[in-house]
Amino acid sequence: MKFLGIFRTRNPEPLPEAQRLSVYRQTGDVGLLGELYSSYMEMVFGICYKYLRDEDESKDAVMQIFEKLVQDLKTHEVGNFKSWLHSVARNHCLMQLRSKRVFVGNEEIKEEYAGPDLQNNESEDIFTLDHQLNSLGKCMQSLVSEQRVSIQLFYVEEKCYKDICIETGYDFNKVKSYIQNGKRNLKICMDRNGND
Amino acid sequence: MATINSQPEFGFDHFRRYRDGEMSAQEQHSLEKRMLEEPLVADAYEGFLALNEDQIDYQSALESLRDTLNEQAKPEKSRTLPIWAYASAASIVLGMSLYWFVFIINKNTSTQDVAFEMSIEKPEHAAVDEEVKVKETPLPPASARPTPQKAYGNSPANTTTSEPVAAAAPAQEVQERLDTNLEESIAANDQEQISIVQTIPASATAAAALPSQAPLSESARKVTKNDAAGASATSLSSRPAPLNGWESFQFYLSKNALSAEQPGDVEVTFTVNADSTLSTFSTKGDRRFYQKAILTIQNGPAWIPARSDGQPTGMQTTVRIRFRNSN
Repeated sequence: MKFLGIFRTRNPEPLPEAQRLSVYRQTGDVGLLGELYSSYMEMVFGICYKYLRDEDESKDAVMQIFEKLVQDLKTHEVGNFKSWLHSVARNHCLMQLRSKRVFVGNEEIKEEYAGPDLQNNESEDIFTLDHQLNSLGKCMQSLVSEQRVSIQLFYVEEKCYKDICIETGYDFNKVKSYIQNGKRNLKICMDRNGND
Repeated sequence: MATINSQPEFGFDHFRRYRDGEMSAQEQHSLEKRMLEEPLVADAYEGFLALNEDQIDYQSALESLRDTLNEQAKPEKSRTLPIWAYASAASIVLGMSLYWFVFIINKNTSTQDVAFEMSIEKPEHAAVDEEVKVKETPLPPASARPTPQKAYGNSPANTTTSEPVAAAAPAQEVQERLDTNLEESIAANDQEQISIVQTIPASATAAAALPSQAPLSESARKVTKNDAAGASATSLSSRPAPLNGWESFQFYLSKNALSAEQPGDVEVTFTVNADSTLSTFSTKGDRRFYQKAILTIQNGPAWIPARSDGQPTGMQTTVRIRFRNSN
């Protein structure tokens, strides 16, 4: 009686992404995937525009990426959909750029999502977490002061860039890059400590 | 922290508010954090800034994208038709089959329950007397014809007869046959009384009501004729009909479908061939009367074959006979 629709349970919004993807893998219900994709469509459009810088091309790319999803998600089990989607979208655009203008650095097309990031690692294991917290303190000290201050204000005190600017007197873009670079350095430091 | 998957997605509206400084410090922080954690959001924000820089109307672009996506993601949804669609489809099918049963099936075998009182005299008389051999002579109206034989109550057909007939040789043959048969069946069924249930093709009844003076085809001429009731040969297509019309046929049955035992129903299906002969009898119903029912039909009035596009053609018809005990 499922086809009658009346007995079909509407997909409740809170259904986790992973579950929706697994339902899609089983049923191949494009409507379901469309629902999921629609919430990311603005993001994907933004990404495409960032790379392609052309409205129509970006629109086409958004739909082509959806078609790719329809195919790929039937067979692939994707752990972190968002990261995967970002990678798919970016690669699609870069491939398109490459086919038009032959030069785009290969290193651009790499699968960043493959490596687990700091946040994901943290939740893995309480002992690891404890160990990481110890090394975090050490690593924080190893950062240059601008980075350390910015990271402290941003992650610990949860201040926004603007407030950090006001508080520290740093330039807005500087704050942003201090945080980005500081975060990367921290990660490198943590990884090194983790391996020791 | 790992807030991924549990937050509402950021959209261009968030980006706009962030860019325009309309967000609270907390909101700003949360978006900034998301951008740091999720390259997807960071890239999209850069794209958003680029869109604004190039003064692209991203709202309408997104609108059209949403339409396209809905279009593409539709097939699965369209499978779930609303209940009323199924209901109306079902009622149409029901209506059609009802129509089919009532009008199409009944064309073949509509039933009409009639019981007549009738003398045992041969209704065939009228039939044979009137044998069409009249070489295209238009038939006079029934009322105008002499009626030397007994009047048969109901049937106007039976009031006709004995009209002088030219070239009546074949007609006499038929009459002889019919008379003999009838006598036999009457002899056999003396004691019993019948009522009949007769199946009448609707179209045949209609045709029979039409007076007709058109010449009959060769084959039809041998056995059939236009009777007063006008079992017609004119309509281009018709069903098989007994000579003299259904009423007189029923009358005949009522007098000849007799039973000395318990009453019973028999359905006799047979083919009225193009040359008015009857063949391929089959029976249904009360076994005891199978033989008798077939004999009754065989010995009964002649039949006018069905017509298709004006040409006589063999066609099956069904007659239901009720044998009833006279006691």
